[in-house]
Amino acid sequence: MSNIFPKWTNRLPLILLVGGLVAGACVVAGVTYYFTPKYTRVGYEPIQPVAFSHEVHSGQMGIDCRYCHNDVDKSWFSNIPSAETCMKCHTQVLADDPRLAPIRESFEKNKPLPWVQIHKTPDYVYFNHAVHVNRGVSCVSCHGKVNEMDVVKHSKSLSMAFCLDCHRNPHENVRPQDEVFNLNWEPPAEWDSEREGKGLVDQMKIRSAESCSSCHR
Amino acid sequence: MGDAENADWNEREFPEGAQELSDDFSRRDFLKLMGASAGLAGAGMLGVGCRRPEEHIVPFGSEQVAGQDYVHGVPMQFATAMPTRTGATPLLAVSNEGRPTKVEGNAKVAGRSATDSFAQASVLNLYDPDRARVYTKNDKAMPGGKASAIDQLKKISGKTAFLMPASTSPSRAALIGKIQEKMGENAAFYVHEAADFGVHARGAQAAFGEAVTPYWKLDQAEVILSLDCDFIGTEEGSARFAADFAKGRKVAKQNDGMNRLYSVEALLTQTGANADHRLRARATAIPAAAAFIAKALGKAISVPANALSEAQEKWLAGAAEDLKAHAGKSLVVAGYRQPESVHQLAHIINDALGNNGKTVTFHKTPANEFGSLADLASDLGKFDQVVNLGCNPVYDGGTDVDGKAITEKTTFRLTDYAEDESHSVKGVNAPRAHYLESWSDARTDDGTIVPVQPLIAPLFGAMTELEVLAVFAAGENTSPRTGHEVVQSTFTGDSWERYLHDGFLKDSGYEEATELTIANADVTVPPAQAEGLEAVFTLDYSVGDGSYANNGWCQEVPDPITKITWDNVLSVSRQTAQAAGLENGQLAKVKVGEDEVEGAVWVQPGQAEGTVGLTLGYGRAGKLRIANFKYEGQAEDIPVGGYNAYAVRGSSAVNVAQNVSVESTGKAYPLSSTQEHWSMEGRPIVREATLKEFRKDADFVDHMGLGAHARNEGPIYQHPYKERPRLASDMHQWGMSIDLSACTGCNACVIACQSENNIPIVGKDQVAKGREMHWLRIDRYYTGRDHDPRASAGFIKDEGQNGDDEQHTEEWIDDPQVVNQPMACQHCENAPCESVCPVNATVHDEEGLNVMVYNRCVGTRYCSNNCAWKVRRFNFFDYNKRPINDLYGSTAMLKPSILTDWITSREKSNRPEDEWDLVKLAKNPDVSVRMRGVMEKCTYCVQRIESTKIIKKAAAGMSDDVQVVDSDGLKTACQQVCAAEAISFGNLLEDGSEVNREKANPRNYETIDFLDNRTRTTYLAKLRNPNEQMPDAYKKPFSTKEYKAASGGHGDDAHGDHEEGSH
Repeated sequence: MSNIFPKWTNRLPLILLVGGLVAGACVVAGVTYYFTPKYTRVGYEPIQPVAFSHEVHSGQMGIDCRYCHNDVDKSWFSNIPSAETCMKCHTQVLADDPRLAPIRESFEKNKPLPWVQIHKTPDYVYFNHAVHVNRGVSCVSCHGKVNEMDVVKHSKSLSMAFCLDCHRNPHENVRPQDEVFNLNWEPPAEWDSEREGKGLVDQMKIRSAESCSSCHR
Repeated sequence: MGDAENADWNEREFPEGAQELSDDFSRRDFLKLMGASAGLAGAGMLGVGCRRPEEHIVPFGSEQVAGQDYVHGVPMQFATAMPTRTGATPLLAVSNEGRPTKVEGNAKVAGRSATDSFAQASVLNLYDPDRARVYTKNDKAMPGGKASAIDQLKKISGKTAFLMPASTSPSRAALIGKIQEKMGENAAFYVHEAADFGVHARGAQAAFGEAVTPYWKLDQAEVILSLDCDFIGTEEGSARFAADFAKGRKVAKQNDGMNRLYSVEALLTQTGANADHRLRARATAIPAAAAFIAKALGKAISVPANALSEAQEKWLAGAAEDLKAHAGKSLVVAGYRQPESVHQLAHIINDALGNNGKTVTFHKTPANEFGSLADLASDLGKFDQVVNLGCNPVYDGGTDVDGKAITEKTTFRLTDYAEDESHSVKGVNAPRAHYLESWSDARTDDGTIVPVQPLIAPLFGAMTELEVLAVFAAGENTSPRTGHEVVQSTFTGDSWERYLHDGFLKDSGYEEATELTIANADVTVPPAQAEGLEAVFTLDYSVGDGSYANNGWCQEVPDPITKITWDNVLSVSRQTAQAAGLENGQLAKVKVGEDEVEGAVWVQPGQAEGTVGLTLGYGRAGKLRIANFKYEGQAEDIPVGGYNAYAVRGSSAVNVAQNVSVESTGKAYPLSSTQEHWSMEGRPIVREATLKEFRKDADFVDHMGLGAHARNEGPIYQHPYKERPRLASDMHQWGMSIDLSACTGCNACVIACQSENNIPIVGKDQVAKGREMHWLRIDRYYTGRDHDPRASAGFIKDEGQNGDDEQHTEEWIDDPQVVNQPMACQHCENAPCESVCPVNATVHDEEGLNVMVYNRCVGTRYCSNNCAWKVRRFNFFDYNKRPINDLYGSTAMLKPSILTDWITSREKSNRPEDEWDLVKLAKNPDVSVRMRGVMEKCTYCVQRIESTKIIKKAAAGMSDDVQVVDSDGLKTACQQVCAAEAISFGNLLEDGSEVNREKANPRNYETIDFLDNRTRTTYLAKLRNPNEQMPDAYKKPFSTKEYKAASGGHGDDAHGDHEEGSH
């Protein structure tokens, strides 16, 4: 009565150990990759009720961000324009275009358009647009080059680490106030963030807070 | 938004058509699709399914809908006013996306941003789920709603009685004039309020023979004598009185003056609690006391014999001397509970002292021309119908008014609640609009006309009394005017826009009456009841006359004197309780004449002998879920919602009833008190001195406590800035100072904090377990003249041996001194809570705040255990998402549907539908709503700090003007509402900021300083201003005596001197 267990079972503990480690590593790697905002959010590109192109309006025609998002420097919330804003031009331009039918209907019947929200912070995060865009932080820092997007997509993770990266090194992201809404602005050749960026931080007394209370209340 | 389509959009989760299956769709297709989506959902766990559900941003179609100035996300303020019985509280109401969420006082009108606690709580009444939601007739909903109710009103003809609450609205007066003109004899008007404040005008009329109302200027008075006048608490306009009184209490320098308050009263009121000298006297002896003072000032007034004891006469003689010494700078005030004769005597005394025109002025006010509820009850037979504009006669009409008969004759009633006591079955019940939904106007206590403008369209299509009256005032063929039109037509100023913007009409105050002379010096003083018990009826500090009984904030706020929540009690003195065989917390039966009521007994320190205090406003009937709150597992035989004192209150004795008997039933009744222990036990938590001591030794606070020793030992906890120096901000460091001399303990701050910070209520049973959630509480301690803490040492001994259960039998409570101390997170620099948190959920920030990170908190509660001030609050249950009578849940929670519900709609709560919608509307969007299992506490209103900083920074642009200073208007909610301006808050790094000035006051001290936690909130010690000539004079406040006794003379002056020399 011997050999109940075949010989390969001698290696079973090792197989289990190694297998377990590999499986565990896969799970950890899977979670860290797939469950982070970098995966779940970046690239999100929903279909909007009207195929509005930022590339055309902002990129090619050079309309300022604030023509439509006119509350961005006043409120925590960067507003989505009402249909009335669209109609300021589109009563003249493409006035009868079928693609704009929902806009015209919204304007005439005061029926809101359900734009799909792309960028969103959780309820317990109190992000404020006004304080950033009035203090040398450009739209492009969080939203990417929207002026080159035909369909807007989520381009930065907007995770807490993303926020803190900038709050810890504000000098790398501030720019002259005139250039905040210029999404194509590139630092001039002589710009050194250690010198110019820190100069701006000093000049504006930027104390980008890193503690919990700055964003969570 | 506002129109139906937008509302539809808000309710829909998906665009139209997305949810409905409109195509031909076979079962097979359906299963295929379901299978595929189930598979996708599984795959989704590793992929796109992890994304948040699709959400929409819904802008307005046209900007006109929102209004020109509307910026989404920026709260707007509108000037309006809350009408009160005799005036109005001018307000700035805050609107977040169209929802009014908070009110502040309108400083442009009143000169202060303060309000009383009721104005703060009134916001919640707007979102009361028990509000009437539909128009009913014969108890059936009227399909036409408001329009058909107006049609019904138009049909009313014949003799009509109008029953109305009191009001100062010029528009209402104008409409009534029109109706009288039009209907003549067919219309009669009656005004009813449960508490009658008209006695102030009647007393002045009796004294001067002219229609005037006194206007007290307490800030001008150096000596004040209150004759049962609770001007800090239950009198109308108490916020102004508290503000003016506190001005005379804030002593900063040794040669500053200070006012002195004498109080004669039966119950321990807030005014008595703040008095320098207090005389306990039966309510019926107070007319004699007033007569005694008048006589002592040389007036020919006869004092009823045997009404006053020898000791009382001595006390009054002393007070009269002091009044005489401060002629022209003193003030005698009489309370609304006292009869006309006492008011008349007060005017005579003030006249004799030359105070009239100085510390009290008189306004020419319109005389009351309307009948009372009792008049209506007796005239009822003359009328064909009654139109009730918001009164509740069945509940608060008293014993000898047949409220039922009035209700039966009522053909139209404006009602707050769908079903309450005076619910009219036959007639039309119309929802009554909240003042934040109404167009109206009113006059403040000095007569300034203020507009009441709506911040939101009526939630349930409710009507206002002006709209109802406008129907009657309209001609046959003309359509009635809207509230807006009525108010605008009454407006007499130049600019309607300016009127609405500023919230008042300039120079519209009452005309001042000068050169008044006493027309009638002959006063008949009613005799006192020498023996037996008498009952005193008083408005409740928390729920008023009962109109706030269904308001959760009001029910749960502890009474400022008894600290009892959710109930009213029968208060009696220690000796009266012993004589009548009454036990604390047992039910007793009170008999007044034929009527009786059963309530819980409370032995109240400082109450006059032979007096039972009955508090109005409780014991409501009808479908009111808060007023009749029944907790989970409450025994059937325990009554809910307190007792109804109106059941024994007759119209002949509305304030004081004689020949009363009280009998114990022997049944125990659970009371939920937030502070069960009354004594400080000689610890210097509240530090006090007399003005004289302060003048001798300005640094007296430093000679109390062990702070000086601890400083040399070094802190137990490491300073966060020492560990991480980079953390400290060089721009802002926040701090607070609370002046205990000014604080009157009025509770307005507690409710303002609750409103600002989304603090839930927890229910009576949870309060009994110490689980109330108030971030800010007011500790009230009693101290006794001969109380040696070593002798009784209540809390140290076992219960039953002079423990908390027995403290009400101890002699020292008969004539206690009262101290109040607002207590919230002290924001220690070396915070004990921070060092014990295993998950770093409570940490310091750059600006000195001790912040709480809800997402990190795992609920160990170590922080709360290690907090010396016990100011941290734990969410034992999901108070926001569960109804408070179903907190524990049941096995139903284990059903799988809970999980699926959560997945499909995470918004779901266990609350009834009708509550959930309204609960959400009332929240402040700038503060996280906390869930079960996390700790919370005062944040110094971090949302206000951050928003002020952000506004400043956004305006600064590229410049460096970003430091928040006092002039930026940053105020915490408690600070903003404090009428006494006892709370200062601000930037410690700003030179000369208000908080720095306050902290430089020599009275400044830290509580529990021997732990060396370096609290950011410090207190200014309380000063008392006793008169050495009085029979009850004291050299040291009782608490200081207790402290000296308990510390064995450790902290006396000699030791203090020695300490300074040796260290």
